[in-house]
Amino acid sequence: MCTTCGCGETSPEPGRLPTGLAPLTDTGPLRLIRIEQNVLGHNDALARQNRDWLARNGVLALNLVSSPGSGKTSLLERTLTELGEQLAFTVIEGDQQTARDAERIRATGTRAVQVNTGKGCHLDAHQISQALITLAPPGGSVLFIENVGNLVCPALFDLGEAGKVVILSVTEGEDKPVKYPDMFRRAALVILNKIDLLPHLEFDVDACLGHLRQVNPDVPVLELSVTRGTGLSAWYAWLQDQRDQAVRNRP
Amino acid sequence: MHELSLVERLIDMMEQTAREQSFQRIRGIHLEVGSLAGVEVDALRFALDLATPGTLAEGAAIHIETPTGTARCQACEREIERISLHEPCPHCGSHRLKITGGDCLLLKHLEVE
Repeated sequence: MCTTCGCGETSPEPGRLPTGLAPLTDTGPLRLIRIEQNVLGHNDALARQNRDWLARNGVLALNLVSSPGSGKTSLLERTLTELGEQLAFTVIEGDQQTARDAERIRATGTRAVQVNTGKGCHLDAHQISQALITLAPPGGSVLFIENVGNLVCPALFDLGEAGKVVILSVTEGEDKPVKYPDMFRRAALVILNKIDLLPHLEFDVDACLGHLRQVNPDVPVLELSVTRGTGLSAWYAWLQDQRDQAVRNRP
Repeated sequence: MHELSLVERLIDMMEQTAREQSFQRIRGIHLEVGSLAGVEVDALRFALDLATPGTLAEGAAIHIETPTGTARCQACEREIERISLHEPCPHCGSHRLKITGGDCLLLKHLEVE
């Protein structure tokens, strides 16, 4: 067994290269090739294609991101149930494993596609372009993309959404915005969820908002409780307004 | 650990370049990871160690430059160097800063044979 990592491969003797490799000292003529390309450029190009398609069709796409357990799926379930008669919705669910969240969404009568990322810790623009073909969201609708629960990796991968909605629940640390600034600085809206639990916690809302303002000074914030229904009307008004803008801006 | 998916994409880019420019072996990979790129250099090196064996980049030397992020303050309009995303403008204290550089992971060049 390999003594370096415990894998099944035999490790080479010290000073010897694995079989099939010429020693590095035995170099032929080296060439320098200039590339100067962004490694995320391919994803960004696919995201632009998604964004163009969504804009042409007047579809508002929102990328919902948070830590695991902040209440993303519960927020969607309640929104789809209460707003389903006024607005058309479709949902892309991203999780490493299982179709459980897509099943929860479909139980509200909304069409949903589950994307399993396997070992991947985020959705990427290619997965969204494939899901868009399956879902074919109708013009004037709202597409929710529920990303993998993770405040780090999804920040870097543009999906082509109109905006990121970052959800932070008050059972988490109030300093998360400065701990995960890559995500919070890209937020178009921040939702502070589970505020019904505040009397039982030491979470300082003002301190949290202060941290948030350090990385994203102008982002709107909605404080709500999905389970109690507190603050949901402001969320629905924001959604309706964003969707109306997407329809108005349709070329 | 998004560094692993970034490395997978990096390998695709290198293989495509190898087809276009006809080379079989990469001896050196030169990368730029800006301090505001959201990429951990140690995690990136770890992911390269994991993913390059069996590819044309196996055994290649990895060179990583880490330029400091730069930003323009929207309030006082001065250019500043930025190491972290939550620190205010050192001149006027504003947090309204627009990042202008050091936020990319770039494949700069390759040494090939």
